Amino acid sequence: MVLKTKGEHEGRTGSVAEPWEGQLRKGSLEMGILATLWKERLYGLEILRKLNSGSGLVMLEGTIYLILNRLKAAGLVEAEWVESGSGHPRKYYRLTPAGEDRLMRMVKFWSEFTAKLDQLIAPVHQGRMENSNGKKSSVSGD
Amino acid sequence: MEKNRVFPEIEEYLTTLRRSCAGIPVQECEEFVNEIRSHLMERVEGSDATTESVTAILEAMGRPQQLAAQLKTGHVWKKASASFSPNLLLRGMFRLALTGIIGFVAFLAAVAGYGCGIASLLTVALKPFFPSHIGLWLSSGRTLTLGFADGGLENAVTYGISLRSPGLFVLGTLGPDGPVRDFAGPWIYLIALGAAAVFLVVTTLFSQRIIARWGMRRGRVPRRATMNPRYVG
Repeated sequence: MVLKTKGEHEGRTGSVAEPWEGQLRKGSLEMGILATLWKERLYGLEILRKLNSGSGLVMLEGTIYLILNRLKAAGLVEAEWVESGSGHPRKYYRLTPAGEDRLMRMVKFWSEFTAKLDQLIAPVHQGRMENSNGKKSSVSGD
Repeated sequence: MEKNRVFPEIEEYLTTLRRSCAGIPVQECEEFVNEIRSHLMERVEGSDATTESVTAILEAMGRPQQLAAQLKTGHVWKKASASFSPNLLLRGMFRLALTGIIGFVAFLAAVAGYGCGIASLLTVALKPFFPSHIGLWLSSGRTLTLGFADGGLENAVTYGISLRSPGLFVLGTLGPDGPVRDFAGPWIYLIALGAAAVFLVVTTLFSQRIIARWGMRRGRVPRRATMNPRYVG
């Protein structure tokens, strides 16, 4: 378990997560959760760890159980309680065929969407690179 | 760490969570509480189990009242999306109104829709008791009102579902608008019943659809509940 300070979370821009960033993360959370279950069944804490190690989706931990609850009600995942060696049972989730279908459609949309967006923001990347190179050469010129 | 050790902070958290779940089926609440318990215990086992670390673990989980409120919202949406009860649908729409501007506008539309349905039914119910005051009223200023007209017909104020050219619509009154005449006569019963059926059916289908689309499927969760800048597990 890692507790991050506010300063550590501030990231590249030096500011706390902005509203648009939160909306972007929130919008991709359902797909992220379904994706963690693509190959295997997992319980809540495993899903959370996988989400945070694989995508940096930071979330209030209880929220994941609310979302799993909703996905289960929508028939996209199914769950079963399994006894564990640690002394308390764990609730494992797996994708249903409907969940797999939904995930594949989400991934298809996401891939097409990000490809188009990448094209759109390519000039911004280029501009950043040029700015960065310009600063370096001015520093070396000094 | 000693197995089956009891942590008062965790027990207190779970008790608050269970108490805040009142209103949803006991089995659903217990299953949620058990899952949260399993999560917390595994977190504590992976820590040094000091008071500070347990407090941090509970904080990372989120406030129990907030979790329970969202669980209840999910439960209301699930029931409402397949229900024909105006009470349940309006409760679902009210919870949706708290999630953003679209939900708020949809809630107002549902209130207006059910309000018009009730006004139409009241028109039918009150016509036998106030035959000269209940009707479909057309004023000289081109205001059409289904409902009640007070005072004399020369300059009556009408109350109910009012339409005024060009495109003004209110549930209530648009104020005095010159002399009025009853436009429907005995057909008022059929007209008002038809209007009530249309308003109630359309509002019910609209509310079910909105809740299913914006509530259940999109899983609207307040931003503050998803983002926790202090913790990465």
